[in-house]
Amino acid sequence: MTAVTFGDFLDQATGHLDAALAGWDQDTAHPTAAARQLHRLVGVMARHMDDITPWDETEALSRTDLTLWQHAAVDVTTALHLAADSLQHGLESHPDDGFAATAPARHLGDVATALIAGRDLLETHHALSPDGLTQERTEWGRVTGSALIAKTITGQLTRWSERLAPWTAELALHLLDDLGGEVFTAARWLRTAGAAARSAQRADPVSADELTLLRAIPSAAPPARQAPAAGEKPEQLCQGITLSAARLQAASRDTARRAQWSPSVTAGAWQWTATAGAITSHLSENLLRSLARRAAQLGLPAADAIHAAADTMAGARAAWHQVATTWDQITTETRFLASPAVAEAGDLVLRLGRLTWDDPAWTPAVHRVTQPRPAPADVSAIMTMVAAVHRSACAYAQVAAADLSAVHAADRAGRLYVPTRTLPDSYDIPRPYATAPAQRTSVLIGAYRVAVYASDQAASALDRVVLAADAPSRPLALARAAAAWPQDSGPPGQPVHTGGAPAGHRTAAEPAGPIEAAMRRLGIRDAGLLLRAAAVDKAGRSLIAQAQLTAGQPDQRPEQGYSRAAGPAQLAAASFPKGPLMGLRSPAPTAPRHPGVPGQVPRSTPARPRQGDTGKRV
Amino acid sequence: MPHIDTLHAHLQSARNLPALLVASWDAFDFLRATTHAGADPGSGAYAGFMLASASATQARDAIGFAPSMPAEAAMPDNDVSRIDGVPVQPGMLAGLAGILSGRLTAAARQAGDPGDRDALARAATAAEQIRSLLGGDP
Repeated sequence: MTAVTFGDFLDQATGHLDAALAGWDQDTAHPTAAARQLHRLVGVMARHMDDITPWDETEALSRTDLTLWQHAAVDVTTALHLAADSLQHGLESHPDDGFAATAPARHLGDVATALIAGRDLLETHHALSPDGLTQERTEWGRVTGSALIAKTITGQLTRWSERLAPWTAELALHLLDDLGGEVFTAARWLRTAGAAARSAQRADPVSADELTLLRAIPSAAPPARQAPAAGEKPEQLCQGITLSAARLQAASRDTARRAQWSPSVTAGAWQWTATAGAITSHLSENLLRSLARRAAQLGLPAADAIHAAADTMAGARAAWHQVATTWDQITTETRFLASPAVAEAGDLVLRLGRLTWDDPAWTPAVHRVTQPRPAPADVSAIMTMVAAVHRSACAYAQVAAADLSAVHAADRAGRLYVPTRTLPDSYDIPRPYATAPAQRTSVLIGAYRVAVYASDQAASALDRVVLAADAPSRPLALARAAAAWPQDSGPPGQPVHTGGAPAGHRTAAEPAGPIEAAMRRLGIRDAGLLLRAAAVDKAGRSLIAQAQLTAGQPDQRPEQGYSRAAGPAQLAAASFPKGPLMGLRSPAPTAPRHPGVPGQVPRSTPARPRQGDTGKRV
Repeated sequence: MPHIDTLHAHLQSARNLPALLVASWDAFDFLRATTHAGADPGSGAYAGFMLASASATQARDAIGFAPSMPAEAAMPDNDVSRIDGVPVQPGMLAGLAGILSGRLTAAARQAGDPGDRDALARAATAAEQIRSLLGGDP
């Protein structure tokens, strides 16, 4: 019944990482296979960082609005790409010898696989629009694209890099010649990645709540429906409400686009959903008041906040009631077709009714009116019920916003009608229904706006309760808070990509430029500074290349000061001059090689671009 | 605001499909308005009345779009504000819904136009839901 979350994959990956790093069995371990799987893992980590780092080093340098974590993410991304490059280079002359199933290679491969699955899970919350732009597909899309999640993932991958670095250095000792040298270089870049976020971590540590939020991100696919059954116990009802709320939210997505044309999006379904919203709010209010009284009896500090949430729920009920009433006089050309949202809203009403009233087979029929269910006596059960109401309220906050957009779209498409007799006599229409005049649809849209506000107020009031009381729906409250933060992307549902010419990371094979060379002459050994210097050089090269294209001149590189005989290993070695394998360096390649970023699985959509994304990717 | 007995009489006396559609439209709009007025948030019956009201609106509009619905039919003005405060007896409303369900189901079987058949069947289903919500089976 529980949906898979990012935390599930994180746990799997961490378990395999622990196993991989547990020790080195000289008899069974196969170092080349381990290096190959390490390459795959580091590549996946780099791709993860690509997803959350929409700036390259050049842009990061020129921006003054980036946080410490965002600057760190740029450095971590670059370092991981460089580590992947080194491993790729080292493995090029070592064909796969089929020892991937031996430890620790197998564990490293499993870490990579779990990480790919987690990345895919995050991507389910985005989709491509018809014009090729990436849009948020779900309410979690805004969260997964938030600075807060980027920070937490950066923190997580930084820790992994830190753990992998010494192990990778040890792995290098088991390898010969050029591969050993490249693996050692990779170890240095992993160490750089591991150190890149230290100042950010000191200034703004990743909190337990932030990790909780990352772990709680679910897949966009809704859980399977489970129809309510009479006699469900309170904990089953709470689980069912969670499930129905998730499915209702999923069903409400995309209605705005379909509302313009689809006969399956009807006034009847909207009115029914609004009616269910009023009933759900009414039931929630009653349940919360009962829980607030019990909480007060138990001396719980949350009692007042629960009572306040009940008050906001009364406001939501009134708002939804008004929406339902307004639909009495407005319709669409197809009046009613059962929609997924109708089914889910119905399940939610039944389960919430059975949790509120003392009747395990309650239905909305008036003859089943009964007494409220006695509130539970233990705090945990109270908070489980509060969490169920919270999830339901958050679902309706989403439904209100989605239906407002959808009704707007239906209005623009001329799909709303009113009974002719309700129009002034000046209308001479020989049909029972006529296109709804603007003043009538504006009343409906106004009612929806009030419902959006009131539903959000109710959800926010419950956010406060669950955060203060640490109720089971705490991750949902954290997600709503994260989504409300200032974003790098636009508002939900809006394209978040502004395009831009690809700039590209500096690959390890590219020659160091004059800025980086000057830094080295000055004796600078700080990897972060060297990375930024390399970025400035890269930007200069891109600018010159662009100018050459504009001027119609061929590429004249290498130019004086832009060529470098040394390869990536030497760059790394210069950054970390005390490494044990300095003497193992192989001759650097004389021509740029294709950077290797393994671990990429075929994707139906490209990695999502963001606002400000310059398209940099190796 | 028509009296419920008048609506009963109109339904019983309708001798052709257009007359039945007009009488049904009136009856459903009456049910919509009265159940809406009965939806008291202070009562445990709020859910039942709200759903019955929504079902009545569905049925009324299904009838309104039936091809045989006379375009010139005068539609009553069942203003909710004029019903507020009048005690609503769910059993009586359920009885009216039961009559609607029976007559519309029978008419749906006989209707020649698919559009009429569909509208009548939808309205009959909604009438049955209203009957179940307001009086219904224990």
